[in-house]
Amino acid sequence: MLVIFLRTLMVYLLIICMMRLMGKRQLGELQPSELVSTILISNLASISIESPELPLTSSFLPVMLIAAFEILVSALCVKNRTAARLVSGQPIVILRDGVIDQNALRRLRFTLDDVLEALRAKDIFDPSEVTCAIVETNGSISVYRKWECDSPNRQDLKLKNTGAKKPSLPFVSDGEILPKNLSWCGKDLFWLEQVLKENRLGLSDVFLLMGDDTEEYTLTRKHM
Amino acid sequence: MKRVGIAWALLLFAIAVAGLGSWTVHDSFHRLDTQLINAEVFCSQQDYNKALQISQQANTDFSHREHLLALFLRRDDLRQLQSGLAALPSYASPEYENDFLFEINQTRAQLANIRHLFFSLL
Repeated sequence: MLVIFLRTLMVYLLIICMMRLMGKRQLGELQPSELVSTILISNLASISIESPELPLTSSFLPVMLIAAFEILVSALCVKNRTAARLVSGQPIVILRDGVIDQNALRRLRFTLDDVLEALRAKDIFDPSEVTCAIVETNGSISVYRKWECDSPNRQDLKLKNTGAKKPSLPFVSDGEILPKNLSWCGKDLFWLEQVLKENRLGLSDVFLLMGDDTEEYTLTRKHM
Repeated sequence: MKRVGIAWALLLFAIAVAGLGSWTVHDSFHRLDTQLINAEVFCSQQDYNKALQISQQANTDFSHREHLLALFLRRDDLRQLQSGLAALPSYASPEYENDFLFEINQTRAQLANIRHLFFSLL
């Protein structure tokens, strides 16, 4: 039993390391090669946990190889567009000026229902509202709406920015200062000290301090 | 791009481990097979003492390499091979000559089978 415990721990640590090494893309929407490596790694990881008679190398070695191949192939794809096209394919336009490209749908083996469903997911119920819809290499659909159907932004409405230009970020999290966020918002430790003094708090009493590039902030005290 | 360097290092490490595994299995099995053939020859020549010595030597060599082989081969296969080898010295006498030859052939067949499973691509 102890052997299984140790083996599982080792495989778990290895998979965490390999997934971290392969990067964040592995956790979001996957490209074909990333999907393949993720499926293979999950299967390989279970081999040496399920079968104690097999040597650990029968899991470790293939997992390392797949992680290495995945990184090297993605590095090759960054350098070479042809390789990228071979490995990941290329985006395909399925809708132009409100007209669905039936040939593209056939090539992708997409049904009309798939397209309409994907459009509905983007709050579009009429394909004629779309200038262009593209199926990306990871299978997601990107849509560009017609000018007259698109929602206006602040620039279109000529609204002046009177508030923060940066998003609200945590400056202190559970008593720990996040100096990068502070400096990005134009604040320093002196400002933080002032805020703590104003609220008669020590750093360890702060659960969360959020703020932006204005003088506004939100402070949550830690419950004792 | 730092990750690419790590990926190359992982690839080289995996190749090195695979190479070490192949060499260890090939070398150990080749040595064992030669010892078993020699034991068979000495037994056929009625030199049972020499056959006994060689089969004992095969057992010692195998036990020395077993921990390394366990990194690359299934434990149940190794256990079978070990029990096959362990039985050999007890048959190295005139009255059990046929059993000795039979056990040697069986162990060699086991060796060949494990080697085939380890090295065959398909």
